Amino acid sequence: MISPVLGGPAMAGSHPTFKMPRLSFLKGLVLPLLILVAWDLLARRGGGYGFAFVSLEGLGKALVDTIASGELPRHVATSLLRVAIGLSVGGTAGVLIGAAMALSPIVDKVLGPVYHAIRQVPTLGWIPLLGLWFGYGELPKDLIVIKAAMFPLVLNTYEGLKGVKAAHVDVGKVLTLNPLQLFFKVRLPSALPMILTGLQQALAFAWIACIGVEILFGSGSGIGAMIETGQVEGRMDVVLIGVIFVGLIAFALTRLFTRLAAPGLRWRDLKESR
Amino acid sequence: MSRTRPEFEPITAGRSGALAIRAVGKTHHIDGQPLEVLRDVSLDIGPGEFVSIVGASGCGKSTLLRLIVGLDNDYQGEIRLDDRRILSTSLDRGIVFQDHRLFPWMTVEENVAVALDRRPLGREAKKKLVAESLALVNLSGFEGAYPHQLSGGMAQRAAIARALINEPKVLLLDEPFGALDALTRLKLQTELQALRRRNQGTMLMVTHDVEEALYLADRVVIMQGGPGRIARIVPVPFPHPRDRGSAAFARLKDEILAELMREPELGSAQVTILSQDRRR
Repeated sequence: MISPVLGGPAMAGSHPTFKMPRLSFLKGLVLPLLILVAWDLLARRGGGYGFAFVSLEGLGKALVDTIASGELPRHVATSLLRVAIGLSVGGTAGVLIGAAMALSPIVDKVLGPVYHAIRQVPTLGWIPLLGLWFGYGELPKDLIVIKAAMFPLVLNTYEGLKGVKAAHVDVGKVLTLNPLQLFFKVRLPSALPMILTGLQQALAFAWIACIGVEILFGSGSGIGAMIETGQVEGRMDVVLIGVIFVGLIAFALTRLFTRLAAPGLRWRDLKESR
Repeated sequence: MSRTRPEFEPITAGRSGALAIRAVGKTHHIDGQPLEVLRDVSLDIGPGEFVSIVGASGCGKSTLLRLIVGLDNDYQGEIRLDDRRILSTSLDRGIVFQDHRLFPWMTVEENVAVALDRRPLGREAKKKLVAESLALVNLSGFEGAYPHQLSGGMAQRAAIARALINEPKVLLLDEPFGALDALTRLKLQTELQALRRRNQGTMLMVTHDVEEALYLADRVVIMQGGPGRIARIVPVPFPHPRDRGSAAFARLKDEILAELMREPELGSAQVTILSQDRRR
């Protein structure tokens, strides 16, 4: 489910228990450092492939340059903002649609087939169509990211609410809770672990879609656009910095999510540690 | 508005709790096939009385409790509590299930407090009620624990606190100690007996355990399955605290067990299928 963009230690956060590995951070750094050293050796020796391999020195210089010029921060900010929009708009819509489908058989029958049909089309497959409809500005890019964030949340919210135990709902009814109380006190908390898993997937999918759509559109700003421009201009150093930052940010976002989600799932962690 | 009350006195002062079950019948439909679970069940339970229903698995005794608590109003006949027809759930009826059914995402304290959600009480009054209620079942000190951190007996105590906090006129107990180990079961039976002296509400308990029924109940109702109906009602004449080891106790126990063994074979096979389906 998780793309290679989130490879490496970032994968740890995608484990259903939301637990990070207890291995020390240093062990996780061994492999990247080895790759960097090998990379640097190759770059220094293979003069003929100089356009494809950049020495670590060149990479460091490009990093300083892109930060100093404000280019890198600007691209990072654009991509992060796009993911934030996608997650808030798509996430909210996903939870609402998933909940409506789970709670109302009519909504389920009307929306279900359309949802599953659209779900079968890869997110990036919508780009040509959206490009035709909305041009190649920011709107179609945001729409793609919104869609990417929305779909896993529809599914997980639906499954989560469908999986609420009848025994627990009965207790709520015995305590004469009204439908609203029943939802917020029983159904929603019961479905929360599933919804948070969906949110974690949404985060990963939104980030992948964001970078992908920026590369494919190739215009405007964003880390994806920076990578694309770097490639066109033959700036391997810029491309590499882009790729490294895509990975680092994905890693940071996953960790941040794990931290934020943990308190809400305390009861479940206790359950599983028994 | 918060109400104060003397300790262990019911807030519904002068409450009654007379349960009248009249010609109740219930038919389930499984894959379109009708299955009669209860037929012509009639039973009167007086205020403050403790009645125990014993019977084989699937004789419809748990179904009867579901009807009384108000989770299902699709049945024939009628059930009245203090002359008012039962049509839905109400805080004047509490229930304890065999599985504690505490919400795993709430602490013990929150699990008990959720029973007060529909009561127009202030935060402090609710907090006080929850504390009293937990003290009553010896769970003080475990307010912040999650259900998964509790033993089976403790979880069931918390479930009892949740059911009793609104001081219901009738407390229904659906095999409340059935999933506990023998020692914990004996302990909780004694505690329930003590609670009853303080609580004074009507209690109706379904159980497999004839000894448990005889230890606690004023009357034991023997049900037979296929379809579920009342075979016999046995008054228990012994004063409390009862001696499980006495000869008279053992005699009555044997008598009830003999009655239960006379279960018709065909009927019980039929209802066993239902019971498995219902428990999923």
